[in-house]
Amino acid sequence: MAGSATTVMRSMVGRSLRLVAGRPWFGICLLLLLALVVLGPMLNVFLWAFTRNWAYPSLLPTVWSIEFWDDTFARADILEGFIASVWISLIVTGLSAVICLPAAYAFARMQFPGRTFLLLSFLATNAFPRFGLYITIAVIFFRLRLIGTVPGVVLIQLVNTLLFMIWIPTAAFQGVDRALEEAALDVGASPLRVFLQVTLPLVAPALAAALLLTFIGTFYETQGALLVGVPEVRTLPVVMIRLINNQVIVQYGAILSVALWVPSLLLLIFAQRVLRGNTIASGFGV
Amino acid sequence: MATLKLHSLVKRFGDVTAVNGVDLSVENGEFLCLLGPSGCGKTTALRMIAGFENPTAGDIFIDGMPVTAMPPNRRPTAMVFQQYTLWPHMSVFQNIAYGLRLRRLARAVVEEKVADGLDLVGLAGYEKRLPSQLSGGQQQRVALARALVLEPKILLLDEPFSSLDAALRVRLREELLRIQRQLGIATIFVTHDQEEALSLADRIALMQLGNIVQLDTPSELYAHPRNLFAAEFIGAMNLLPTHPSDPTLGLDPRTLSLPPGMQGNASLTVAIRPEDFQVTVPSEPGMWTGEVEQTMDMGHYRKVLVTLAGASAPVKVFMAKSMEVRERQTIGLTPLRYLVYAEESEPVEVVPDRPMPQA
Ligand SMILES: Nc1ncnc2c1ncn2[C@@H]1O[C@H](COP(=O)(O)OP(=O)(O)O)[C@@H](O)[C@H]1O
Ligand SMILES: [Mg+2]
Repeated sequence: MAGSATTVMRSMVGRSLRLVAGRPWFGICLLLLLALVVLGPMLNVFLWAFTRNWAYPSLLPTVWSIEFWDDTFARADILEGFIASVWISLIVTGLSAVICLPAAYAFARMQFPGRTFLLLSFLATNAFPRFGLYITIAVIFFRLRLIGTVPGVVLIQLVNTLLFMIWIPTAAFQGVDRALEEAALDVGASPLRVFLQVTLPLVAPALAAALLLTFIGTFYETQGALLVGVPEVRTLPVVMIRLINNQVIVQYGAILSVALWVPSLLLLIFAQRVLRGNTIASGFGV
Repeated sequence: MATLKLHSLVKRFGDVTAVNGVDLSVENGEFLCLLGPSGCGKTTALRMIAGFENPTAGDIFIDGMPVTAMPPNRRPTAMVFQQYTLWPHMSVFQNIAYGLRLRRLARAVVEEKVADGLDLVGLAGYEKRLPSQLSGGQQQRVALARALVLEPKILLLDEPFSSLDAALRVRLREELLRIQRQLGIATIFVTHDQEEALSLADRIALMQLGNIVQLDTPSELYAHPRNLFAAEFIGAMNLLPTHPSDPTLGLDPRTLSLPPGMQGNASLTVAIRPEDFQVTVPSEPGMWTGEVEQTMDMGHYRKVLVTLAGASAPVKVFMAKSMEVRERQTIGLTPLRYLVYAEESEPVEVVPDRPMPQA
């Protein structure tokens, strides 16, 4: 299933690439439009984060300043929100990996009754309106006294991560040629060693991508955190919503927004290194 | 003592019996080919020897030691797989060194053995390449080196060259044989290509439906195929039916020198190699006569298809190019040697002693 989805995606990408290749001007215009739509607002937000005054017709801020950065991070709620978000995202990603990766391996390698049904059921958590599910969970959590606790937030955010953390690694494990593992067994490697030194390196890029998506997705997750976390647990997105609702200072929003890019950028750089390290293995050290 | 001994080896997958009671022994330094059509159980047999499949029944001995229950990572066998199986995240050096390092050899020893291995397969200097930077033939050479540096008791190869083009396949075949002779390592080579088996093997084990139907040297297998399956599978062969009780069906039995014991059979099959005909132009009395349907120039010989009375399909004849034949021409054929197969008994070889009419 995951395989056919990738095939469809690949053929769609292939078709659009061919479309662009045939008409260079069309491609360039498309690229510029894309840059304007995606990067325009980001640039605008970025500039606002360093602005004191921006009079209307001016193309650039009229008075530059970084004073709002101090203001923003001097606020206890923002700093606490940031720290809470990092911790909760790390815990959710870690837990998700511990639960999902062995499951993905089992899905990929073993045939058992109900396998397809189970695999599809993870899609269900994302296919139906999320908020309905959250309300139901919140009601149960309320009875279990999990509302307003870190475990409550972690649990509800965990639900979100299941799809990516199961499907991507399952497809990756399925993609490993069994003969490569047999060849390692054949030269004398134990099954554990084969897993660590052959299977794992081959699926590492896909696992890194899944971890990355999970961490970032959790960091920015708002609905569940809002519903289950408040008033005790406030992640950064929750703090941002309150700030924006209470006082309309554009700079706060802009600065938090820019601050939220940091984990994305860090993880993207990390992912790039993992991917590159894997394709160009050089040197003799195993 | 035999290096490898298989004793009544059986493997079933559910209802499918892939290997159906195979007995085999491979001597020191012997090159044995497991030959047979696709699906006859060659790969399954080889994978049981390597330890990747557990036999349903039977035993495997290496150097007299039972290894049937030993996991593949502890068996003294090394395998070259049909598909490319170099680890893509490791360089050529790392691929070959991997098994050596598991044996905790000193760094200098590992480097020396890897260099020797690469030398052996003609790829010295390729240490730092990645598998993706090698051609298919080079990848299989590295896989061979990876297997050989471990100095296994038995080298196993499962159609290792089948995805390479014909010319390269022949070259690697010759290279493999040279290396095998040089190292004197017992080798089992699986193939469905009878020509490959004939050119490589000391002995060929011909398989059909999970059984070994004949185990012989290539020349013996070619000269005396034990049943009709072997006769048809090895080399080119004409299979012509004849009925001693009814001369109007098939070949006229009176034109054949049938062995006395077979003259009472209702139906027999005569197997004649295309090169075992004497061709006479024009035909003379007492010979088989046929009309040339097609002639093909095969380089150093000519292949002719002849329509023969009593034969259901055109008869293949190989002849020297010095003799001219045209399509639609009537020619005479005299069989010089043939085998006669009766149901459920050994074939009988016939070399007619009639004086041959001179062409
Ligand atoms: N893992 C397996 N599960 C089920 N059937 C199998 C398996 N491996 C092989 N077979 C069956 O066993 C038979 C022999 O297969 P194989 O040994 O691969 O033949 P060959 O290598 O001679 O082509 C075939 O009918 C094949 O379908
Ligand atoms: Mg096979």
